[in-house]
This record gives sequence, C-alpha cells and structure tokens, in this order.
Amino acid sequence: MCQIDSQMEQQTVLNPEKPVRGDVGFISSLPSKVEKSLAVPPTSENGKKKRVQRAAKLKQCKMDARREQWLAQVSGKGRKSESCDSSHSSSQDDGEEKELLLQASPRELDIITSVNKEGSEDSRHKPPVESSPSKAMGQEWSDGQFHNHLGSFSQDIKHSLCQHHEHEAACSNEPAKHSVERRSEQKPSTIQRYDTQGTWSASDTSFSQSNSSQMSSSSEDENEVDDWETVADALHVQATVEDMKPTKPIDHCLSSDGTLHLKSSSSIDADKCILKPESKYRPGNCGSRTRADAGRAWRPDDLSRPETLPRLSKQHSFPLQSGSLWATSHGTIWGLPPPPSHCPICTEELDTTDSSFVPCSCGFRLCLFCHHRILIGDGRCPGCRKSYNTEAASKLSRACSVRPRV
Amino acid sequence: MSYGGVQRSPRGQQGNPAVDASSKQPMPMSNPVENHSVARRLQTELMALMTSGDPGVSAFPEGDNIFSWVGTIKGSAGTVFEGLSYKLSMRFPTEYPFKPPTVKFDTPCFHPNVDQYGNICLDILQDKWSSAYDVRTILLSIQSLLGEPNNDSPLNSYAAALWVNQEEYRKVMLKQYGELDGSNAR
Repeated sequence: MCQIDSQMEQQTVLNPEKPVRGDVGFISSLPSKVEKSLAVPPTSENGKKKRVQRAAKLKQCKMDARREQWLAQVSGKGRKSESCDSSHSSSQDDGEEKELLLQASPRELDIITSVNKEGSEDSRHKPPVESSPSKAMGQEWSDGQFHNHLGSFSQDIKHSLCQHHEHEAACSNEPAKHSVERRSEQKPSTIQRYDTQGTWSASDTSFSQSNSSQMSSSSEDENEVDDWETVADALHVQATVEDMKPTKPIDHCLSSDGTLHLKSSSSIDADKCILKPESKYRPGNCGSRTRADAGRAWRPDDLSRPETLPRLSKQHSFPLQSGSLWATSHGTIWGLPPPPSHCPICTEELDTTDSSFVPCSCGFRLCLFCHHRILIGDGRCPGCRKSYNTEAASKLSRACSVRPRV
Repeated sequence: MSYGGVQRSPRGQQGNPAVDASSKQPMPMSNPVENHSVARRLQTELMALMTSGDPGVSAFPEGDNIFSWVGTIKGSAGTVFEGLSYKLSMRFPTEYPFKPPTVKFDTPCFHPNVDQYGNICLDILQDKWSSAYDVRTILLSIQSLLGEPNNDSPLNSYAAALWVNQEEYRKVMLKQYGELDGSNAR
C-alpha cells in the first residue's frame, strides 16, 4: 500500500543515519541518498565537531523515539495523502542535495553533484510552496521581532486553513510536546549559529529550527489532505509576500542568501518526511491554538501555557525534601541551590570549600568545623538527625568540590 | 534588666535552689574562642528572633549574660491555654548548639508534660536535639506542645488524666494558678 511505501521511505531516510552519526554529527540531518554518498568523513572539523555531534545525537534520539511511536500506532491506518507525501520526500532529497552542493567542502562536491543529477528530475515536481512558509516559521520563533509582523500573517492563513480544528484547542498534549522540543533544540542551534565552522553547522541549525516549526505546519497539511491544493495555493501566496519582507533573521548567520533559501527548504522537507508520521497518527490531537502561535515556543509567562509543561528553571533545582523543609521551617532559604552564605550552626561565613561541602544526602550544609565537631559527638546530621554516612559524605564532598573549579 | 527578680521568685518558692545558683553565676568560660562563636550564634539568633516578629513567642537575654535568656510563650488560640502567657528560662551551655539549652517554665504551668518545677519533657530538648534548632524553633515547639501534650509519658499525671475534659481542665488549671497568684508573673 501507499502507506507502507511511505513508511519504508521514511525508514530509509532515518536508518542510514545511525552508523554515520557516530562519525560526523552534521550528517545526521541529511536524507538517505546524500548521506550514503557522504559516508566519507569530512576533512577537518575538530573541537566543535563534538558539540555538533552531541546536538545531532540528541535530535536523533528524539526522532527515533518519534518513529517508534509512529510505527507502533500507525500501521492500521491508511491515508490517501501518500502520493503527496512521496513527492515531497523525493523533492526533499533534491533540495538537500542542492544545499550540499552549495555548502559542502570541495572534496565532497563531486560526489554530491552526481547525486544531485540523479535527483534533479524530481525538482520540477517540487511544490514551490513547501519551502517558504515553513522557513518563515522557523524565523518566526528564532527571532522575536520578526515574529511580530510575519507571524501574524502566517497565523491568519493558518487560521483560515484549519478552522475546523479550532474546537480541538483544548487538547494540550501536542503543544506541550512541541514546546519542549523547541526548548531543547534552541540551545544547540544558537551554539551552532555562532560557530565559525560555517555552513555545516549552520545547516544543522536550520534543521533543528525547522524541525520544530515544521511539526505544526506539516500537521496542518496532513490533516487537510482534501484541501491540499488550496493549502498549497494559500501558502504560495504567503511565500511570495514573505519573500518581499526585508528581515531575514536566520540569514544573518549565513553568508549568502542564495544558500539560505535552498537550505531551509531542503531541511524542512527532510523534517517533513521525518515528522509526518506524528501528525498522521494523531490527526485530531493537534490543538489549533499551537498553530495560531505556530513557530514559537511557550514562554513562561504565556497565559495559555499548559500547566503540564515543565518549568526548566525548576527542573535544574535539586529536589531535596528534608533540606528544603528544614529551610522553610527555619525561615531562611537554605536549600541545596544556592548554598547558604553562613553556616547555620556557628553562623560563620562559608568559604568556597564549605559551600561545596554537602555531607548529608538530605542536603543540609554546614561548615567543616561544625561538621567535624558533630562527628566527634553523636555524628548525626542536624538537618535530618540521621548519622552521617562517612563513605557517602566523602564521596559527595569530593564530587562537589570539583564543581566550583570548573 | 529586671527579668532576674521576676524569673527567680517562683523558682525559689517551689524549692529549686539548683537553678537559682546557676543563674547567679556566669557560665564557666573554659574556651574563649568557642565561647565567642557561641555568643556570636546567640546574637544572630536574637537578631533573627526580633526581626521575625512571631506573635506568640519572644525571648531576650537576661541581663548581660547572653547565655541566659528569658522567653515568653502565649497560649495558642483554640487551646485551654488561650489568653495565658508563660515565662521560661533558657540556659545555653558552652557547647551550644551542639548541646541543647536547658529550658524550664518559670511561670507555673499545669500541663501533662511539665512537672511542678517547670521541667519540660520534650524530646527535642533531649535526645532529639539538633544543632539546627534555635531559640525560635524551641519556643514554637513548646508552644505547640501546650496544645498537643504527649499524655503517654506524663510528668503531671493529674493534668494528663484531666486532659480529656478540656473545660474541667481549664477550670482546675485556673484555680491552681489562682492559688499561686501571688508569685505568678502573669
């Protein structure tokens, strides 16, 4: 069936990444054909390669999880949008190759060109629409001010396109997922933008950005299979308008405008292929509210922000119950982070050694003198009254003493 | 300060000369460095206590001796001790806060866990002491002990037996206080 075909295709796009991923981070963002040809490691990327690699691994993990999820759920359903899908994915290859053509090092150029020729016949099928709107969305959330005028425009269109999804706005499951992914992807992308490594890392950036933004737009598209032509037309109009806009936030990090267009289109197509499944097996679950604000991550102060979303700042804090309980009962904030400025026992100021010293798992901190004094006595932690486990204490203190020096 | 006279008079009448003697002479100053750090901690506690503004509890050093304080506890609303206030003496050892202070009721207190000399049976003042406790938490603990006595191990078995009947308990308590009225600091 068509469904199975597309499934296979997606797998072929995804699977080859695994062996390559370990070697070169940036490759993981490329689709199958190019990837195979590019299995040769690149010439000279050292320090930053690691970082890019990590980001790519992270993304890969997410994509794997998504694919597994999809494969588990989607098998029964059939959809007639498959013809559209397959044309997308083929055109995506084409776009990706062009991107590489413009960006890759000379050593790889010839390989890519050959691939490009292979896929060039697909390029005429490529809907011109696909690239620009999603590119715009990527820009939307990457740049705040750009979001204002451009975002509102795309929102209008999106509203008109998926009005019948409006009633599903209550479902916050999907939006939550989106924003979480966006958050996590934001970091690598910003790092890479300032990379001097240049085009590869930059393409990776656009990948990760469009990755999240495309999720919402692709979900629209797939949900509106019957109106696909309408969608395409509408998006095309939008695209032309956007092309006239002067601001190009992502472009600023790149050298040439010519690469940008191709790049964003190709990377988005790649995303589309990867992310499509999710939107398919949950056609009704996408709140249209996300699409109204599409391309933008939840902000902590958003009124309609789902409460289920984790607060990242809170997550970083160490949840130590007894320690914080003690702190609140004491009237002072003496949780684990940040360490108290004074020893709660002798009220002397804590120096760096003291403040990195956490002798008990309850998180109660005290200065080394007081700790020593207690060990001479009954040897119980003042915070939890449990006796100090000397082994754990030394381990903890050793681990913590490294932290301030880094 | 004038706390000394007020605080000692009931003790003397109830025949507890040991407390009187210790309160008159300063604490033994064996280690000046350690004493300094204990004094520093007590001063910090005093500052925290005065700025915290807890309505039901207060404490202040007795005279010039920072190692001896007088605390005041008001009976919590909704308990039989509502509207009554009690004075306590707190004596801090030189090992404070590694050792608990000695806390006693100066004002006679009719309570299952307080004996006729004002000694308090409270675990955090004995084996459950932690150096993380301070004057404020001690006083708040005693305040909550007033309303929630531990009747299983009473120092005052009469009060423990009466506790089930709160009206009667208050009546008996006020009568007892009335008998001691001449020496009561309330």
